[in-house]
Amino acid sequence: MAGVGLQRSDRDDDDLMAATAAGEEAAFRLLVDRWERDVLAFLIHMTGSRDDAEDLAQETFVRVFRQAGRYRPEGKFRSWLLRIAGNLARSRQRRRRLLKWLPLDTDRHDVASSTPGADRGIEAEQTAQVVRAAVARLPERQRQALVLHRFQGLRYTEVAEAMDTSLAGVESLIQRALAGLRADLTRRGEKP
Amino acid sequence: MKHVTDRLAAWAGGELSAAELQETERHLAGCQDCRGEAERLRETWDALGHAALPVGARSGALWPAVRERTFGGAAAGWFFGRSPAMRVSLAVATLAAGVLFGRLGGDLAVTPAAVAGDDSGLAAVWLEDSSWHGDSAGGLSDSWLALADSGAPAEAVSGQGGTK
Repeated sequence: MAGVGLQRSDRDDDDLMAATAAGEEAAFRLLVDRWERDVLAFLIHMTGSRDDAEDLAQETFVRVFRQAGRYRPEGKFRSWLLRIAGNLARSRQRRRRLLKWLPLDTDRHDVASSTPGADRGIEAEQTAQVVRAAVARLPERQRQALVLHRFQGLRYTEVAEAMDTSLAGVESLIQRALAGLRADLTRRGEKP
Repeated sequence: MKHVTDRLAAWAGGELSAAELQETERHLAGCQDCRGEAERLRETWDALGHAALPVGARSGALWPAVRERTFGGAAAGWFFGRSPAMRVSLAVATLAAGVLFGRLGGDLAVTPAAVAGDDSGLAAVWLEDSSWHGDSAGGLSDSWLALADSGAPAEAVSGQGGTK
């Protein structure tokens, strides 16, 4: 697969962003190929919808491209990238809530149906779906912090950068998210 | 030592410093309440680990659509990839070239043009026809030029043949 080969590059993200700003298409493609899975995974967890996630992932990279000239090379590309993706996800969800197109009821989202479950036990997959639905019911910023930390593997400092908040703020968001998640699952008869 | 419930999320997520970790685990060993809370939180943490969605092999899948919206439009890609300062310079240079071309060409009219991205800044150049004739003393006095940091494709200014 061409994309896999393209991902193997010694050029770091900051270097690729500078080259992108200078109009180098190959550099931008490297960035997209390198980060698309992370962005997509994050957006799926944020939106609960694979279709939305793919749409927003595309928009995220278009924004990255347009802002390449303003990017500051400080070795924080991932945080910056996920910040853009997070803002887009939150913006879309706010708009949808406002328009009442799609109530934030994840029981009706399409994550479950689009999740490959062949290699999971049915019971384990059902539990995973319940947990994902509970995550999606969390308040927006709590969900964002938790997804970035637990699913995307960002450290607190990176989450703080991606969410433009303090370290203490991140700690509080994640603490409350975990407590809320547990309370939700308990209320619905799930164990965790 | 006071209870450690407010740092248990950081404990589960491996975010405590070595000293904090040592202190927390020492407390947990002797505090049944906090230990119970830690075990419950750990269960939630682990359940989350099993809930992560597999994205699958997608490398390269996004590129065609992204390219279409960036480098796909050659002029847009070429322009938007530049730094804001470069975009302003390019827009000004294009405008200057248009003015020069207009003066040399005499009876050239320039149509209003404004191109902007969906949420990008605006680069719009509008030149009132009367100021474009070679005999106009006003030059660009009746014109306005708005340039914002996000820029617009360089073809924002175009000359059209014909006489007003």
